[in-house]
Amino acid sequence: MAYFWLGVSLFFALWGSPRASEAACAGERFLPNRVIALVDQREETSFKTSRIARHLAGPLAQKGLFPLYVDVASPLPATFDTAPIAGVLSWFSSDVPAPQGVADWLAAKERDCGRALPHVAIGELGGAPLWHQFGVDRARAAILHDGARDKIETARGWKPLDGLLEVPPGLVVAPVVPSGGVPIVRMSANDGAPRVLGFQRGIQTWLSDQLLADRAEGTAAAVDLARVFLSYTGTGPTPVPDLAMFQGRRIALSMLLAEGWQLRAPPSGGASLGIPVYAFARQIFEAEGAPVTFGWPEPSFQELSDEPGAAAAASALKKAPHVHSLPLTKADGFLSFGSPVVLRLLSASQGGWGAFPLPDQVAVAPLIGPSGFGDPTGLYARATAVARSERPWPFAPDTLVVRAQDLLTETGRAAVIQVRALHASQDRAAMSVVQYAELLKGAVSTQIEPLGSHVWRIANRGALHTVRFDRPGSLVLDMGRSIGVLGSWRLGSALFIALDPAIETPVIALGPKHSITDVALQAIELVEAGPKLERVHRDGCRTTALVEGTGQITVRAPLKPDIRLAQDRLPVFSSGPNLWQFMVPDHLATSRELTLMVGCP
Amino acid sequence: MRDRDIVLPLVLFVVFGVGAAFFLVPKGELDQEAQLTSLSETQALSLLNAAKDPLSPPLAFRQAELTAATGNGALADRLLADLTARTGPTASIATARADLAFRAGNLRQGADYLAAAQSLSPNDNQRQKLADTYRRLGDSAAERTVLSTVPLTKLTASERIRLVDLMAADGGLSDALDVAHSALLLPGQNRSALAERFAAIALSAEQPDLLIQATATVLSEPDGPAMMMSIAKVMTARPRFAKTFAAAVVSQVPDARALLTKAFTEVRLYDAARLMIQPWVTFGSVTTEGWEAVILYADRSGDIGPLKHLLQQMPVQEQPPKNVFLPLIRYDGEGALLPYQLWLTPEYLENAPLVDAAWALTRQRPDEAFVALQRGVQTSHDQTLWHALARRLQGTEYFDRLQELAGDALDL
Repeated sequence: MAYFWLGVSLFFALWGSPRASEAACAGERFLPNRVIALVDQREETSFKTSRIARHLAGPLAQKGLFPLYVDVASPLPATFDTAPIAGVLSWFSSDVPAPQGVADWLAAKERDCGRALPHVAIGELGGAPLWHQFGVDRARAAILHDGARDKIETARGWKPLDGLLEVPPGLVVAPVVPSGGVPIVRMSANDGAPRVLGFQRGIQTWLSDQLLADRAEGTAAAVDLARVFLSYTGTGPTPVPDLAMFQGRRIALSMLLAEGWQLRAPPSGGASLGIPVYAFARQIFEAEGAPVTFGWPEPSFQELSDEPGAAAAASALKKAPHVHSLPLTKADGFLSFGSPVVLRLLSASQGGWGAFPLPDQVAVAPLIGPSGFGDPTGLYARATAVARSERPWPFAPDTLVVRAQDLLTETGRAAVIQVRALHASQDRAAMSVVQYAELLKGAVSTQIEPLGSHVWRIANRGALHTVRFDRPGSLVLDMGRSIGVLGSWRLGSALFIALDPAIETPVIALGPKHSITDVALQAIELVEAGPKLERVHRDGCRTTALVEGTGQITVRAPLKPDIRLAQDRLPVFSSGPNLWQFMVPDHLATSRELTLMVGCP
Repeated sequence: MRDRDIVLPLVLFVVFGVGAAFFLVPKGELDQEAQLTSLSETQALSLLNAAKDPLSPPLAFRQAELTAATGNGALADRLLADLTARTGPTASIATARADLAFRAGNLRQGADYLAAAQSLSPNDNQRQKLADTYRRLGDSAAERTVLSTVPLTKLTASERIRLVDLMAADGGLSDALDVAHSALLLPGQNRSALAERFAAIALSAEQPDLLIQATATVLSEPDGPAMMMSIAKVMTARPRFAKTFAAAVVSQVPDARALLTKAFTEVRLYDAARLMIQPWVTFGSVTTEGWEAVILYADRSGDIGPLKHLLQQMPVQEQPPKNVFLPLIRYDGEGALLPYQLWLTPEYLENAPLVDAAWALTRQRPDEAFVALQRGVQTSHDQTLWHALARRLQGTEYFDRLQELAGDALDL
């Protein structure tokens, strides 16, 4: 009887979702962007705080890859509804409960995909069968290491910019390099065998966990992870969703937490009780400026506040048009905005690896600095963290998180005012956390379809409007062959492309730097913009767009463009070779038509 | 007319009053400082900036701090540089300049100032911060110097470990061994991490006697078991030495026999563990901890001979140790219980659901086995054995019900 019902339910399951059986690598026409992340939940109870999430999810997201967590201590899932799979990532400290089961399961996934899946394994592989697949005899891999630095050598091209490789004395897993394996980090041992702390063998990569050491300021990788992840993405230029820029400017997020809302500054002449924090918060954040998200604790502010002034200040602040208020919740030791959660806050970062946003968790890290002389809140030192997260190009939004109590000191207030001014300036694209959360979700849902040599169609990107090429070489954006693209700009070696927010499936084409032709003469391209631009339409020498908001815009054009906003002609200034700047003045209308003309007869 | 009468005294009163107030205003640094504290930071800073005479050092320092508080770190640093020119270097100025350098993202300069502050007025937090900065800079020579200038007893536990690592990294094996050895004998946190390093260095330096000596000394301390585990782990790289080591340690600390058995069993150095068990097999008189060790050894290694032997020697009136039958059931099947049925009283079985289930199976009582296994779901952590016993009910209705009970996590 039981089998009958099993059969019936199986039939309905298959009939109900015809794609289930082919799901693992469905959608292969898109660039693969999911990595199966194997975690042993006996070792690490939460995916969100696992070593992969803490140390590797950020660098993966940098490459447009997002983990699909799988617990190897539970029955393995038959299918995934999200696809396609770029490869496998694992990080264990001991054998998994059923190593052969995991090996078989991975083999089944490869059959589903019709291709071998690149596997990056950190630390223990999970058991003899898995080590065997990597060509390693685990039983002979552990050796005694006396700690000497000169016994370890990183191969050329694998050293990161600021990585430091030290392996303390102890028992170290350093297998003999398997046949066909290429060493990443060599280690000499007393037995004279060619041992390694990391190797690559075809699409398999193994790294000792000694290469990824936990440190106070975050992880320090002793190998170039970007190069490790090339095994998932390939080496050619490919667009990846960018998480830190919008229309040429670094994204800025401001958050005010109600922590210490009712505290008071020391009494002074004017206020015998001392001015309360909420008065300062209102003074600084109510003034018109960049969007700010005000996080107040659940259940409600009024209930928690026994002081009428405190509640009144909170509700006045919530009413300001640029203030978005969301309840602040705490779960798994993380603060989150919204209930249900809109955006999670990761542990604060000083600009290192921990600063990477995690799109799969819809989470972002506050940037902070250490407190010090004349800077009790560390809000001035924060600028260093912001700068550190800008190399080689901005990889995280400029995320300011202010606890209301930071405003107790004059120093704290002055520092916050400075950051607020920067966020409202032409160096930043300030947005609310709701917008940014949508951007992160868009990054995860984005599907990139190669259409031929150096041409890609972008679909399902939601609120994501910037993609980036990390290795474009000498290629540049070909506006003539692209569709729904506003323009491009370079930072360091990376090429950023701004997509037209109004176009659902833009097409990006890259090409060699072209010689001057008529088309090129009339081409006009966005470089950066404060106001939001969309619905760009090109008609010969005339380009029109809808513009929303006010502020500076920079465009690239071979000749000085003639620019009109509705009927008014705007003054245009040169700001570099082929770069032209103009201001969109303040206006009541929400969106206006902008006309840009280059080389019109 | 009357108005004027009032105005003149009033004017005089005001003039005298203000004059008196002026006269009474105390002069000197003390009141200036007092005055500053009553002002807002901005007001205080403008007052200090407006001063015509050179400020006294404390006020000049305050001026720099207030300048830094406005966000102008570079100017604050210049003010402090000027102050140093007048007063000579002081620890507080150096610390402040270090902070300003860190704030500007200049680690190297920050380290230099911090080093100056540390040499003028050493303190523990400052030393830790300095060493950490050198570590972030990758300057291991400077980091090692900072940690070496302080007696080992003054360093924190993690600093001691770090110093050992740095010495070992430089290839100074005998220095590293000395420091690791001394550090291991000092009380402190995380000695198991230190023990792993010590063992690795001692074995690399071919100094097994030192390792035996130190192990025997620290074994009986509260964190002895954790340290022993680290040492046993390292020993897996020198399996042939394990037996010599175990015999030597236990000859000095006979009470450590059980601990050594457990540690070597955990790292699968079964030969050494078996050697530790032998005297119990030969002479009997096993302690409670000894039983635990023998049971663990039997359960992990599958070598249940010693356990059977000891059970057979045991007087019937004594209570059997906890979990003693599990290895027998695991490796010999439930039939292995037959010789010990005198011990399998209802009271004993009540607290040992897996033994209860196995015994029920031996007696061909699937119903009782089912009830015991049902009880075992909540209490037993030995899932493998639970599964093995549950599978013996395959083909019965009980099996289906157990399968339901086990849920997804237990894939029968």
